[in-house]
Amino acid sequence: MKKGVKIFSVELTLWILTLLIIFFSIAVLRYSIFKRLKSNSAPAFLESEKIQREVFGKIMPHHDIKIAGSGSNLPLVKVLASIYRQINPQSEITVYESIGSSGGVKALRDGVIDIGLVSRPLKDGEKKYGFLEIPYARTIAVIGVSSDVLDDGISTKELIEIYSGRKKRWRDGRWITVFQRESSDSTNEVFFRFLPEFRKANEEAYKTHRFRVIFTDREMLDAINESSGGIGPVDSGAIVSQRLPIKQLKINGILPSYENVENGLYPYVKTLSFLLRKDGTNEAKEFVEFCLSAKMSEVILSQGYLLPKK
Amino acid sequence: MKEKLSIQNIAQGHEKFVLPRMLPLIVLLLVLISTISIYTYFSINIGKLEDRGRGVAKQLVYILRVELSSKPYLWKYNTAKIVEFAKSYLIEDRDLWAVVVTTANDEIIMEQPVRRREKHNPVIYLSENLDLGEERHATVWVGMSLARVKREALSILLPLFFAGFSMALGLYFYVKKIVRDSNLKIKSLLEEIEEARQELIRVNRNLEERVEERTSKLQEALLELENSRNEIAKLAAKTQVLNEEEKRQIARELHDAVGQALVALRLNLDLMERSESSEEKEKIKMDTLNLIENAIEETRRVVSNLRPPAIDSLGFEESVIRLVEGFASKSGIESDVSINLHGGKLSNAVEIALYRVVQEAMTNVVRHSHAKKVVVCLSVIDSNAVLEIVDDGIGFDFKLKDGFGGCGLKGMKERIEILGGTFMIETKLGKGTKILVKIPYV
Repeated sequence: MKKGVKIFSVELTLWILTLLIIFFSIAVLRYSIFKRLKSNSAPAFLESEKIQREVFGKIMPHHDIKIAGSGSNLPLVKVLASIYRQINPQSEITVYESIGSSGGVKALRDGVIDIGLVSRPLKDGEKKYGFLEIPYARTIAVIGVSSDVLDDGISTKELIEIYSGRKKRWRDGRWITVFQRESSDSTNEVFFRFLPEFRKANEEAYKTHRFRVIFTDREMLDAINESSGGIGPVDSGAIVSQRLPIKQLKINGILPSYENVENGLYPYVKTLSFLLRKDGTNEAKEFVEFCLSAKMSEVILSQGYLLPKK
Repeated sequence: MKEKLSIQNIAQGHEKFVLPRMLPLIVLLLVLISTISIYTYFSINIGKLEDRGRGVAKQLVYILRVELSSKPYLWKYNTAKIVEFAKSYLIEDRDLWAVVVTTANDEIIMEQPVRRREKHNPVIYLSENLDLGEERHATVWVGMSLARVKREALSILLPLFFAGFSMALGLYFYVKKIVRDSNLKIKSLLEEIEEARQELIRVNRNLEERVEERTSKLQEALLELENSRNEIAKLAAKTQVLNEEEKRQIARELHDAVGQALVALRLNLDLMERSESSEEKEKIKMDTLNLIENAIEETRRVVSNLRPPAIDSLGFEESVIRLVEGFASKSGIESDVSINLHGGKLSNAVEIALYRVVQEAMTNVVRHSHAKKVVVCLSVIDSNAVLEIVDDGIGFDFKLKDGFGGCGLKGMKERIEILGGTFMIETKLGKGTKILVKIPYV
């Protein structure tokens, strides 16, 4: 009986030791993981639902005009600003490099610029700021190709095949160098609106890094211009205003021209707008009004842009 | 003690002792393999996520620093595009949860995508500061989701559990097999020990029996030796007595025969001296001569009794043959004498003793046996002279004859035993008598 009790005690001790080892091992591991997670947990301000960026920035009194936003606007706005400076030499007007439509909205929200430039309709989240959206021009979204490309036109099917990676050569056998914009680009969005298959091919190419992605209009124009057999979505206005040797392809046999846009044959057009805060400066409003004047409409048209629909 | 040495008990004892103690170890193994491996996997992967997250943050800080340098005024409004650019070219991480850029005042200037921490989807945030000179412009926060790691860790739980379970089971059965093999070996050894023990007991028992037997034999030998000593002492005493008796007999016979004759001779010589007549002197002279003759005869008889004269004159073998044949011719009993000593020479004492035995035996045959034939055989076997005297007479009842007490048998026996020999007699009524004498002849 005594022997039995002794054996039981040894077994019990072993079990207790085993459970202790398991418990402490797991506890130590859990603690180490918890400690690491804790040290890398999200900062408190990220947890907060109160998003500070939605707070309007105050506009301090000033007289100069700061303009920034979508790169599609820049060639035209720079021309308009230049004319404005000539007419109003005392004015101080600065057109910043592209920060995108979204960047323009945010900068305007924060009060760091006076005029925002957008090349796409405002998103729901942006409409709540109550900005004044003033369309001042339109530009034709085109499929631009390098000057060495002999093709004059392209079908939407071929376009989709190119961006799907199925079509790799031009008709003359030259390799196609494909450039694509990020998905949120306004020129892309114009094509996506009418060509869902093109959106799909683009997104797939974007995910698989099939082609080089360009993030600004300026760089896209340079890329197409300087490459052999290059192709990419660009704005017609930018090509014309800067006199770039980039060919604008017919799409399904339709030339991207003022007439074809006006008669509805060529639907790929995007509107360029100014954004103004309601509490914006008078100088900013004056510049916008200047751009909307009849004289400037002529300038707009002369730069290869279209006037907005009335 | 017996219970302890029981082979079955020991074997079962080992199993009962070792296997229950194995269970905690097996459980420990199972838990350690299945659980701790997962924790370790989880921990290692968290480390990897941290490294990757930190790497992403550094990349973004690098790009933002370039942006900050080229657009010192509006750089932060282009961060969304920069992050997208970075994500498309630089950041390829399926665990990337969110990228947040904040100012030095913790103001969020970019968050892509806008995500909040989910309770069941822990996210770790790695940060990197964008400093230019001593001024802090921004901090890049990269959120890495642990969902995949968690999912993978859980997905390997089952295989690991099975692996741990299999290993634990394998270990259990391996140990069980070792214990069983050990038990078999122990059992075999114990059986060998038991066999050896039994053998030892058997040998001990035999040894004891042999010692006992030897002791018994030794005691018997000692007893026999003691008896022999006593017998020798008795014989020595008897020999002394016999010698004394023989001396007395010789003295008496010399006194009676020779002494009386000498006295008579002296008297006759005195008478002759005193006698005056010649006739008387002649008569005395004749008487004296007769006396002398008688004395000589008597002396010869006495001497003959001491040692048979035939032995000296004829030799031992011939004297024995003559003795037997003499008896046979007087009694008419057929005799057969065979003596073959193989050239050996018996001592005088032995010759006399054997001669007297033959003489006494033949006397008994003639007087009592009514035998028709008697066979006397004397030979040498090994170093003993063996004498057999066999008759086909009526025999006698040895007990009724008072053993060796009658017919001079005792005298014969004593005479032989004094010389270290043995005397035996075999007889039965109607079946004749056989006397067997064995005596060292040297």
